[in-house]
Amino acid sequence: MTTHTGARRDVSQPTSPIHIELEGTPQEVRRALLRLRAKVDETALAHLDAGTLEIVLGEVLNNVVEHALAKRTDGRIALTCDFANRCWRVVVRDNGAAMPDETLPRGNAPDVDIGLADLPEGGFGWSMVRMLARDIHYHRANGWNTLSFCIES
Amino acid sequence: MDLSSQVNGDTLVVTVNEPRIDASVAIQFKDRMREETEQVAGRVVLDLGKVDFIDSSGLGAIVAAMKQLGAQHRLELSDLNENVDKVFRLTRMDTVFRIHTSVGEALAQ
Repeated sequence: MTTHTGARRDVSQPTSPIHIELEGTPQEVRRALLRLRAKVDETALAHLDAGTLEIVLGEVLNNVVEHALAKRTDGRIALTCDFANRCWRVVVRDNGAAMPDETLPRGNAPDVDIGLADLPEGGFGWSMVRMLARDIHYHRANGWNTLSFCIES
Repeated sequence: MDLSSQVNGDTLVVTVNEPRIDASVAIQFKDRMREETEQVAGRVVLDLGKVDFIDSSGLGAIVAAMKQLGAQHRLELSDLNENVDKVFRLTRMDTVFRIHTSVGEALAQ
C-alpha cells in the first residue's frame, strides 16, 4: 500500500464518494453536515474550502425536512458527494412528498430593501442554492425525490 | 443555546458561545436573545466570532431578534467568519445590518 504522507493529491483526480444517510429532523441535518465536514477533512481534499458545499447542502436538507418530510416519522434521506474535475457532484434522495408540481422552487431572493418590521425571516434557502449551485436537476420516481447539483470548488 | 452578555457603556455585547446557528437551534436562539436583551438600554452588538456556520433559519432568527428589539435599539454584528459573511452577502442582509470586523471596533464607534 502506498502512502502519501504530507503530499497533496491532484484535486482533479476522483476520490471515493462520501455517502451519508439520515432521518428527517433538523438535529440529523446538523449531524450529517458535521460528518460531511469531518470526512472532507480526513481526505486529500482537506485543503479545499467545503464551506459553499455545506451552505448549499444545509439548505437542501432543511428544505427536505421542513417540506417533503413535514409531519412524517418514517422520513429517510440519503446523500452522496463526489469530487471530480474541480466540482462536487451531489445527489440527495428522500422518500417524502414530491416538490409542488414536481418542479424546483424558483428561488427568488426576498426583498430586503424594506422597513424593519417587514424584513423577511425566511425564503432565503432556495435563492442561495440557485446562486451557489449549478446543473440542478430534480426528478420524482417510485415515491422518492432525487435532487442533483454541482458545486465548483 | 449558550449566549453570554456584557454591558459596555450604552452597548450590550451578546456573544454566541456556539459554533453553529442552524435550523435545529433557531427558535432557542431567538428566545435566548429575548432574555439576554430584556434590560437593554442602548444598542446591541452580537459577537459571532465563535460561529463558523449559519443557515437560512439561523439568519432568519437573527433578523427576528433585531425585529423583537424594536426600532429604538439597533442590533449590530461583529466578527463574521468567512462562511457566515457569505450567507449575509448572498442574501443582501449585509446591507441591513451594520457589521463590524471586531467587538473592539464596534465599541470604538
